[in-house]
Amino acid sequence: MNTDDLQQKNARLVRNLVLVVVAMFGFGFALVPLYDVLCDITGLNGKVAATAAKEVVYPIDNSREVTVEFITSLNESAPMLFRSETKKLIVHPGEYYTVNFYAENLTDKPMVAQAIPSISPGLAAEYFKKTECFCFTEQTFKPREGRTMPVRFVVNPDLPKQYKTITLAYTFFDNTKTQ
Amino acid sequence: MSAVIAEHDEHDEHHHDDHAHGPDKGLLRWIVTTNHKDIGTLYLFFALAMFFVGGSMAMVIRAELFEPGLQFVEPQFFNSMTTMHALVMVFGAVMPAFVGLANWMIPMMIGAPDMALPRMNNMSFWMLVAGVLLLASTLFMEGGAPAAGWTLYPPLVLQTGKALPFAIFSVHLLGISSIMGAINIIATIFNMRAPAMTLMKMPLFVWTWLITAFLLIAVMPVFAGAVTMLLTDKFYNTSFFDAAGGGDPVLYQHIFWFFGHPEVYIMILPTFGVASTIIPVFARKPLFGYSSMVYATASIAFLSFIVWAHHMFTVGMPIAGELYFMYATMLIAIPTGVKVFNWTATMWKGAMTFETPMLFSISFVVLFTMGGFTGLMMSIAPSDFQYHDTYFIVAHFHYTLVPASIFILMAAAYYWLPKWTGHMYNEKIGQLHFWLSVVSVNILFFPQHFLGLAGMPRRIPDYAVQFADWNMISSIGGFIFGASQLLFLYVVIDTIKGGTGEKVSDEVWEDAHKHGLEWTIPSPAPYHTFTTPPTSIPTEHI
Amino acid sequence: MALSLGTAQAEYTLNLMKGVTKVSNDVYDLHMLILWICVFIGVGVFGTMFYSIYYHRKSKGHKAAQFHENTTVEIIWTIIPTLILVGMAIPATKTLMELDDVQSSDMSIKVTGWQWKWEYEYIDNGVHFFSSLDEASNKARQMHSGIDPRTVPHYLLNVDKPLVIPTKKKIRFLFTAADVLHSWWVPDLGWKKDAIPGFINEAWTSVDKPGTYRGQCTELCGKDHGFMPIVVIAMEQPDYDAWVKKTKEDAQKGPDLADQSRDELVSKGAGLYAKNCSTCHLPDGKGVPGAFPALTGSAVVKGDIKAQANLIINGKGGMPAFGKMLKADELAQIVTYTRNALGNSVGDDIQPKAIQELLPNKTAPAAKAEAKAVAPEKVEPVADMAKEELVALGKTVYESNCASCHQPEGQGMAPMFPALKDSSVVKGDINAQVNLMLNGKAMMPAFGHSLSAKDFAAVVTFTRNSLGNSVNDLIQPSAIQKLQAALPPAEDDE
Repeated sequence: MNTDDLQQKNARLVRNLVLVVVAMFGFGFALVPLYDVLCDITGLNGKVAATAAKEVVYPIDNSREVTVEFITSLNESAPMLFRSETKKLIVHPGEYYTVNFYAENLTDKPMVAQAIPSISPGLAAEYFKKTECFCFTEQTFKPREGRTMPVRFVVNPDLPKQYKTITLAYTFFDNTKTQ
Repeated sequence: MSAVIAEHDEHDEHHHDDHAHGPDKGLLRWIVTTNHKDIGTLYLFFALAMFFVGGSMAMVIRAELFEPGLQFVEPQFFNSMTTMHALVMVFGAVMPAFVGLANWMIPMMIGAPDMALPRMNNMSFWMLVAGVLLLASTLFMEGGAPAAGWTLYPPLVLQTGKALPFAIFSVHLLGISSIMGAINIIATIFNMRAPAMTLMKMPLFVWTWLITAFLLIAVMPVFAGAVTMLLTDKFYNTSFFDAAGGGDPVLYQHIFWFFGHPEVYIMILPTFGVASTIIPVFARKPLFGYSSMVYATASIAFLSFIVWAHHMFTVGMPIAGELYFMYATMLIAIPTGVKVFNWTATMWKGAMTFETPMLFSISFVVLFTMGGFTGLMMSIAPSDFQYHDTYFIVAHFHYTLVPASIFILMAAAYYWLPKWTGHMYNEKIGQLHFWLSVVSVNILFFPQHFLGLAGMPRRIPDYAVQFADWNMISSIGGFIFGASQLLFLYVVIDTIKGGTGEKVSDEVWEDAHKHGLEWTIPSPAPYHTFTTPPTSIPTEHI
Repeated sequence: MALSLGTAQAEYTLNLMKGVTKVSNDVYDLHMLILWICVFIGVGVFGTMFYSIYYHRKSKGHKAAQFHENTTVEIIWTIIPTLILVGMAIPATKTLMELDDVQSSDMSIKVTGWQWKWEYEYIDNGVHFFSSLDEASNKARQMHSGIDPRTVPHYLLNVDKPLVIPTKKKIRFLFTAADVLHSWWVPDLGWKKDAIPGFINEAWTSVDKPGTYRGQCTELCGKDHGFMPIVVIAMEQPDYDAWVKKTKEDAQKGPDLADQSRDELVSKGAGLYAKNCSTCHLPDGKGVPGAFPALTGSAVVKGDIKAQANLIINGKGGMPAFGKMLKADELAQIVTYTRNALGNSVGDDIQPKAIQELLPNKTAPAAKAEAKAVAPEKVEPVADMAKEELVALGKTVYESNCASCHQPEGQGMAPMFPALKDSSVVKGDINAQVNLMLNGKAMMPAFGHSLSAKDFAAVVTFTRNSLGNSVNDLIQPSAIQKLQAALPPAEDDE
């Protein structure tokens, strides 16, 4: 084979393969938004939308009862108090409810904290709509400030019949140090 | 061909120097060399050195686990050892060893004068050395070497001390080195084959490496991306994997295993290739089902991309996901089964002899199949809820790596050493090495199945006393296995120095010239081979 | 130590345990089914191979056949395995669906993984506690402990407070983690589930037979991953109810606030330290360089006692908030112990009552806020000083307040404590540095209240003109005084 030909062929092949490499590097990063989309669709990990749902009127299904549990956690040693004022609520799908959570900054410094919601079972997440939640944005607390924060939600009546209990969990992360 | 032989004659005057013609003299030769045989040798020696480094770490692990209680190392260092043992063995020993074989053998098997991109070849080797040295240097850093397991799961890995950015940079270097190696192999196979060597006549070692190289190109960049995200999460305030900023630690696992599952096949596919090369020679029969072997390899490679989450059955996937990944994983058993049946059929009605390469290859087929069986058991998601992260898993993947990949690397070394050096290895010591290895490797890993089933988690430095007996037996097997490998080191050095003194023929093994082009050239292989492409090729291998 | 073959106290098993739930039995059956299929295939394949190895050898004069393909055979050995796989998939799918069905449970328990303990919270009745490795195992597992693990009952598989559940009830577990990934596994229940920070996972069990079932964390979670076991005790409903009643009463009992002598505090503190602190700060208080600071000679331990108590109560960075886990008397004992043992001899103590006042008051958050409106005390003005004076004084202040973290030469301790030498903060704007030191940052405590204006100015000037830095500027105590006056009052002032 002619050497020039061979060099040309090699150069072309290498270029194409390098393009594949670059594309696959990009693909690794593309998995991040792809994963979020997948989570939305499948309820993987009980990841929930971080934005408020529009307040739509659903038909209220008074014949059906779903138990909603509220649980709270603090990540690492977030120096806070955090509790839900309602531990458990029996709801009718389609009806709007408001429950209160109480959080308090236990330090003498201002604190920025983010609450991360997670719903279990994950597949119920897309039927659990929050129209108001302290988890949509970071919360700033003045030193030693404590306050009550409401969450307004509705369970979409389309929730498949097998779900009788839904758990809404919040974890507060202290984000002050990363500011 | 006459030119080649002339070179060979000249060689004989330079006693015991297997690269007499052509290369530069002295140390510089090895640093600047672009010769595929030199670079292959460098890769193989480097891999052997790393095999002993990683092996020493395994000895530390087995020593600590010899008895319950902490005797030798603190838990944090123990975790560093398991992490570094895996990283060194995967990226420093097994992968480079196969790249070394590819460098040496692919051009000789396809009738090419050298690799397609010789200078890049040199660069990828030295980048590997830099990457592994950087990784090893983390052992001496404040806070110790990475200790979060070779999977480097966040958030734990973000608690690594000073070593984290160095470890990540080293992964980048290793990745670039592998990618360059893979590009080179693809270019060589696509563009450098002798005209008579069509794709469906290529030896299976070449085929499996071609597929492996594509896997490398597809997944190494994804891994590089994942560790880059770890880096920015740690130092630049991103939150890819941090729930506090809207990320998810499980996402890392998905990205990692998208790389990780093909990665384990990167270590096993060339193994299949070598086994398919060696078994027919010693069975004195053509390989059974050449084309089904090629298709099975390609199917396994394809499946490796769509089964990754079977490593994560316990992270809390929706049931549809678990079912999908369970079914897809079970499918892998089919092409893998085809391969095992084909090797068995190749031996069937052959006229077998049992030199060391054949012994290692047969034990590979048997013991790899055992690893395959446990793999099938683990694909069943509900059972995996029990097996996951226990010693059952440790036993499984060590069966697919040690008596499979490592044994086949040993087989390859014994098989081709006479061609590389021109000397015959000491068959007695080779057989002793084999028997010691095959017995001890089972004493080492078989009891780990029992430990896992009985409830011993992996990655723990100390354990409940009911696990004591099998751990002690496993450790004893480990020490014997470790020590036996010194025999291999001896055989290699001895063979390079002259071995048995017996003059080996060009084909070395009976009728081997019917099985591969490499046996049609002189032993030792001259510095330059196939400067003009061969006109006819052997067909016994297809 | 004698060879232990056959003398291990607990029985070992070779196979998966059947467990004590329907699911665990189904998983066991599934495991055995697949195992036997594999054994069956293995016998066939290896049998053929060894037959061939024995009979088809050259030394026996066997002549090699030359066949190299057979489409029929190849199709058969592709289709038969496929059918076998389908046969495996059916029972596997059934069991998986059963495992997945967490609905209609009788009670829920939230399980949180911590480095390195488990937290259990009974959602329905409010019972809440931490569960960590029992003391006997913890002592024996230290390196060179001199204790034979075989003499410790349930070595590494025992906890201080086990999880108690009623039998014959469907119990739903909710898993999460507070720091890194963990995984909760009790083999007798038939499954394990990962605990992931920020996310919630669920699984369920229903145990028929009362008994004690043991397991371990199965996701690598750092150095003491091997030392956070799980113990589940299943009790008949009446026994369980009695346990709940007793546990609740104990929790409400509250701390013993009676004053104690210093010796008493120290001696009780030793055990608590071993259980709660020694994992990170090590039994001798020497810490782990780069990860966990030493307590021996620590500026925090030698400094203000209330500041130290506050840090232990509220936690900091990787250190958990012990105010939530321990009672006032226990905290007082630990604080006093660290100050009078581990190579320290500060010679003071704190009483449970004083700690009780520092603990976050869960019932009256408003009262706390009011208490803050106390006017800062008047302070005497301080004279200006020369740079050399400030640097000289600063050196001593630095040694007692900063050196334990930032190191005597200012080289820091990565990754927790940044170097001051060539630090961009130290070389940057002096007011920014002062501000950082007044208010603290991440792991770094706020020095605004703990240092006098003079000491504060001195140490700032020292860092900028020593430790390999030569910014060549200074700040006067009077400037610091003004800034300190503007600070919100510290708890110490309340």
